[in-house]
Amino acid sequence: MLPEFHKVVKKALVILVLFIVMDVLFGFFYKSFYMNQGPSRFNKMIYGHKGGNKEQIIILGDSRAEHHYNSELISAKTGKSVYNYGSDGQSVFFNYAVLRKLLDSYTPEIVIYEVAQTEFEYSEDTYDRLSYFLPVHNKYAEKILEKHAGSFRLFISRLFNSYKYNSTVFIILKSYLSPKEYLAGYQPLGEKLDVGLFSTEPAKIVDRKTEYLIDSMKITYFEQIIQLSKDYNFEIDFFISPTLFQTENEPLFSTLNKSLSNYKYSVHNYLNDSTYKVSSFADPIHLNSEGADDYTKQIISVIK
Amino acid sequence: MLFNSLEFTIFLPVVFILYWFVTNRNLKLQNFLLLAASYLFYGWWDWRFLSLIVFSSFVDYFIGIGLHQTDDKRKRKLLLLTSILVNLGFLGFFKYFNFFAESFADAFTLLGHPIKATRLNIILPVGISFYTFQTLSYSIDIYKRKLEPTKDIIAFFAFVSFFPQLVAGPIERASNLLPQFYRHRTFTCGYASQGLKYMLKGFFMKLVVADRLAIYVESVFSNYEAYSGVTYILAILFFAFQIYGDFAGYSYIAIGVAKFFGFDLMINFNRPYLARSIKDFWSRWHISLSTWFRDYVYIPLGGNRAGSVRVSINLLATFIISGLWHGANWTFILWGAIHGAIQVFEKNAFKTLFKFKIFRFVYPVVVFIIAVVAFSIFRSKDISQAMHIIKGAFDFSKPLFVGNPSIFFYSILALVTLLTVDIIEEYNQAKEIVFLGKRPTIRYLFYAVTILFILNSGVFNNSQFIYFQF
Repeated sequence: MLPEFHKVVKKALVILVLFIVMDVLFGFFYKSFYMNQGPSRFNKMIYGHKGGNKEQIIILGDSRAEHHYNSELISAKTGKSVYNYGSDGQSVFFNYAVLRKLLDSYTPEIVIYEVAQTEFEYSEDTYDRLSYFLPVHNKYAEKILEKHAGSFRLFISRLFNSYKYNSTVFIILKSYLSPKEYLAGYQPLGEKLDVGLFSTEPAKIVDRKTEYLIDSMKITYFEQIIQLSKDYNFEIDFFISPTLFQTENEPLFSTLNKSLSNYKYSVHNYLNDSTYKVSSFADPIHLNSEGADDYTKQIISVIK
Repeated sequence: MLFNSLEFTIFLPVVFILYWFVTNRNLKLQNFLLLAASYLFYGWWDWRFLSLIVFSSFVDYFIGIGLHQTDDKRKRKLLLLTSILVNLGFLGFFKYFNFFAESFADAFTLLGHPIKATRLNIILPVGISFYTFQTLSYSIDIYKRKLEPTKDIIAFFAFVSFFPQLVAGPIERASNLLPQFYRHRTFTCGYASQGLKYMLKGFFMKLVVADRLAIYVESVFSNYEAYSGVTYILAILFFAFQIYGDFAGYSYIAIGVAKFFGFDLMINFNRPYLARSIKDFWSRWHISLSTWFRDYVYIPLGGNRAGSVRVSINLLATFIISGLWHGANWTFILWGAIHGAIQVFEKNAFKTLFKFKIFRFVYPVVVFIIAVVAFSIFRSKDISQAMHIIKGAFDFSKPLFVGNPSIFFYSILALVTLLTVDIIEEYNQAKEIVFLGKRPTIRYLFYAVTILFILNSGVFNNSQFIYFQF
């Protein structure tokens, strides 16, 4: 039996060595491809990982932050440098990891924080999306991943380049071939919502989010972000930007108000602001560039 | 325990070492180790349901011996009936109680006598549909005197609960798997290499194909009223390949793991979407289940031995039952009925239609479309959702929903890769050339690239296998 066993081990070792060589080569070539990519969501994260350009105002949040806060407009009105770190589909974990990493190199003066509709909702996907940070080894993101799913995933990502860069090829290729327009992190949406799609007046449609599972870890990290503002002495302003439909989200507001009141903060809530009409939206939850400009002008008075 | 979990990556090498290096000189001890490992593997989900497997094993073990010891027809029938009642009783209670209760209540309501259905809060034990069918076939085979019962209780219990195929098949016949527990097993390089190859193929199908396609499918089916046309067509197509990747992936991993321990399990999938007829599809899709239904339902109903009307009824009934086996929902019944009806059509009209050359070329495409569309019913939560989606597939008023472009790109890549591998294997003279090429260097390079591809393009979210719910 032993000779047979040795044969298998020998074969497996040959395959393993071949794989490791290919993996190392893959990592070697892919790293520069990855780090030098054009404008993309990864590129923004890499920018933040390097400390950005020490912008005085930074914007954190999900896609609604990315598309609703015009960095250049804020910069022109406030005279301060601005960068929008908002990223599609991301959550409080991403915001925390980006902010914490920036704080390692400098302290911004103001943080604009867009509270997501799903800010405290449990979703496995928000943990999965932390894998964005694997290629740059953001220790704060890795700690969250470790707390949630153990260290096996991190162990594999440290061991194999192919896993570290999992599912990134398309986004990077796109950033080279057809780069998106990013203006200091802000990504304007050009489309206008087709009014004809709605049989009812959209403002009268009520989108009710009544019951969902609250993730206590999200609350913890949200409160840690607030605590960071105290520890590092920067201003943090919480916003909820408009949606097309009337939105009811009791679980969000009860959790949010509880967390904010603990630290004597409040949220600037424009969620159901009726001044934003159909023509301001690219889709029911995202403002188009015109809507975003109007909204940005509206909130500047608050952060001044 | 899932094959694609951290626990399993620890469990498998530990059992492997104990099996080949500690218990290898004593066959009984080896079998006992497999039994203990299988119970641990199963108990990892919910140890309480182990009692069902133990009870089912006890019943069929003693019924098998009882059937062999008596020639009294009445006694033999009674014993067989006991096995059927116990196994189907478990299945009926855990899987179908609520469905039948609600269906009866609905039927009475339709007749103008509304009654309220009693619902029980029942958890479906993982793999119950698989191991009950395995034990049931053992007793039936002994009853038919096709099989001698075993007196080795450990071997029998290990056969019923053999962990590689316990929760999602292949559903093994005692005549194939049980004798493998009696013979001395030696570790060979050939078996282990084959095992690794099968596992690699299985993980590719599960992680790169099934779990990737699942993301798009889930987003469309869970919010199905928002889409139409091309989006539905794509979601339906993606689901057909998702379920194929998921289930065939599981079967390949099971076959591969079994080979590590010196066991041969039957091939469960054979490139089903390249079938030339629906009959051919069923000789390629979930082969262990389709042959089970052929031998234990279709043939006892009369099979092909009666007139064409009776044969058609037999076919239809077998496929409806097979649909019901998949789950307690009318969607599964309709899915089974469609497959049965098409087979009835094939049986009666094929000879005439096959005279036309064009039919031979076109029909495989039709078969593919039927199989894919039928799976949209299988995936839907109820018939009305299925109808909405199928009807909506012809409405092109809304644009294609891409969702996350990166996920969409990987989904297309996964689907095309799987289809290409299947086509190469199907039409290449040396079957499965991808795995069995003659030059070791090419083969080793291919394996290394595949591992790299899985790590780079796979979805690692510990998702369950679809067939666990059946």
